[in-house]
Amino acid sequence: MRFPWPRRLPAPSSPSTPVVSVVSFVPSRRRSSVLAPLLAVGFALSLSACCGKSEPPSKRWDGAAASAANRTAAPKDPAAPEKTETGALNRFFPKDGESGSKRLFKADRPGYAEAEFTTADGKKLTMTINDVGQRPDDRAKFAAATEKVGGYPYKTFGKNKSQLLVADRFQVDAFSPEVDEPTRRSFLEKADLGGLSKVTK
Amino acid sequence: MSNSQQPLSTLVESLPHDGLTVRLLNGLDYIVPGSWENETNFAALIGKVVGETDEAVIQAVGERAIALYADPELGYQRAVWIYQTVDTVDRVAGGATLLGEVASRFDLGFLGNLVPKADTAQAIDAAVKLGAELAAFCQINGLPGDSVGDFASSLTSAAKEDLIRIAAWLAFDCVLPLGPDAIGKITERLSAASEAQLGESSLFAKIQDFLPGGMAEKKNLLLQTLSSSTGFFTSFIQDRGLSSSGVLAKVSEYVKLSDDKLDVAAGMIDVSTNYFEHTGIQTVARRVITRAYSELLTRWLRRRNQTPRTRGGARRRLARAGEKRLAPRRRSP
Repeated sequence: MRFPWPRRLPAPSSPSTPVVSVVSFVPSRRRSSVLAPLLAVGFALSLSACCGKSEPPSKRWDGAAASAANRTAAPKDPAAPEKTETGALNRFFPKDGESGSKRLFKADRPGYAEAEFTTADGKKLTMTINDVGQRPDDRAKFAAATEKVGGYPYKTFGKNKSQLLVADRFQVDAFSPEVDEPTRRSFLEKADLGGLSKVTK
Repeated sequence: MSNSQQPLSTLVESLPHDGLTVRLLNGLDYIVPGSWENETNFAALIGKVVGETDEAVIQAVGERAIALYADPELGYQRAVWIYQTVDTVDRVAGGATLLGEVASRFDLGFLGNLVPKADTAQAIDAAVKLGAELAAFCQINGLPGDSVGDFASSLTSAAKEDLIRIAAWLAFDCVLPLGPDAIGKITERLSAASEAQLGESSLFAKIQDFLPGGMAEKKNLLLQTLSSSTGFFTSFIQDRGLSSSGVLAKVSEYVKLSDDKLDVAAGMIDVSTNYFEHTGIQTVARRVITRAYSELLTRWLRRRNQTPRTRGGARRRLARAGEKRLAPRRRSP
C-alpha cells in the first residue's frame, strides 16, 4: 500500500461482501436463525455505501486544517521590506523563446509570480519567484547551501525542484517532473537575476 | 453546495467520485480525450501536480496548501465561491436539486415543467458564466496588467480541469441550446441586450461585484472577453465537430430527458449538474498546490539529512556529532 496513514475503505462491490465477513463470527448451529436478518442488514449497508456520492474526507489533513484555522499572523519585521506589488516580478523570468521554449505567465500576485515554459521538445517547466523578505526562517535555510548558480546560493528540493535565493530576499524556483536538474538549473541561470536583485520595493 | 471556507483538503475530498456531473464530464472525453481525471483524493492530487512520491514532501506541500487556501486575502476562497455560485444560481432558478446519487441512467422527468430560458436570457447567462470564469481566473492568478489578454491566452493552453470546464461550457451552455454558431449568437444577443436585461440575470447579480466598473463597463468586459476568445472557441467547436445533436445524443446516454427539445435539455443539464463548482475546486486546488510547492524549502531536506533514527537516537546522534548539550543520563536511585 502506497500511503502509510489510515486509508478509506473501498465501497463494497457486492451485497454479499459484508454479510460473509459477519457470518464467519457466528457459530454454525445458529447461522440459519441469524442469517436472514444479517443478510438484510448487510444489503442495506452495502446499498447505502455504494450510493453515497462521495467518501468522507481522510483524517490526514485535520491537523493542518486546524492550525490553518487558528493561525495568528506572524509578527511583521518592521525592518523587512513590504511584499512586492503585482507586476513587479514577472519581467525577471527568462524571455519568451529562450532555448526554443514558449513562455506563459500563469500568476502575478503580491510577492509571488509564476510562469510556465514549454520547452522545444514539449516538456513543461514551472518557474516561480517568491518574495521571502518577510520570512527570515526561509532565508536562513539557504545559509548552508554550498553550491552557487549565477552567483546565488542554490539548492534542490525533492527530486523535481531547484531553487536560488537572490539578494537574500527572492526565492526563485524551477520545477517540473518532466525535465532534469541541469535543465532546471539552466532556466534559473537565464532568469534576469541581476535585475531581480535590484528590486527594492 | 459546500462552503468555500472549508479547508482545501475537505473541499477536494468531498467531491463526488460519481454522479450525474461526473458522468457527463466523463462523457465529454470524446471532445477532449484524456484531459480530465476526477481526482478527489487530496494527497493523490498533490502527487500528480508535483510529481513526487515521497510522503514527507506530499505532507509538507499539503499542509502549506491548506494554510495558503485558508488565508482569505489570497483570493482562492473567493474563486471557489464564484465557481459554486455559477451552479447554485442555476439550481435555484430551476428549483431542482443536484443529482449526486448513482443511477444507471438519471431520470430528469421530474423537471418536466421546466421552462426553457428565452434566447436572450440563455445567451446572457452563457456570457456571464464566461465572465465568472474570468473573475475566478483573476482571483486565482491575479490581474497581470491586461487581464482579458492573459485570460484569452490561458484558454489556449488550458488543460485538465480547466479544459473540461470550458468544453462543458461550450457543449452544455452554448452549442446544445444555441447550435454550432453559438459564440456568434451570444455576442450578437449580448451586444443587443440592454443593461436592464443584463441586470435581470440572477447569476450576473451575484458575481457582478467581481467585474470592475459600472454596468456599461461590465457589459463591455463580457463582450471583450468573448471577442478575444472567439477564435479559440470557434475553432474548438469546428475542429472537434461539436453539434447540438451530437451533444444531445451523448447526454441521452446518461440522462432520460422528458423532452428532446434542445433548450429544455440544456435547462435540465443546467439545473441538475454542478460542473463549474466540481472542476473549479479542482482547478483552485491545483493552483494552490503549485504555489505551496514553490514556497517549500528545506524543512524536508533538513529532516532527510539527519542520521537515521535509532533507539535513544537524539542523545546518540548528538554524541556522535561531538555535541555535549545533553547531560549524561542519570540513573534513578
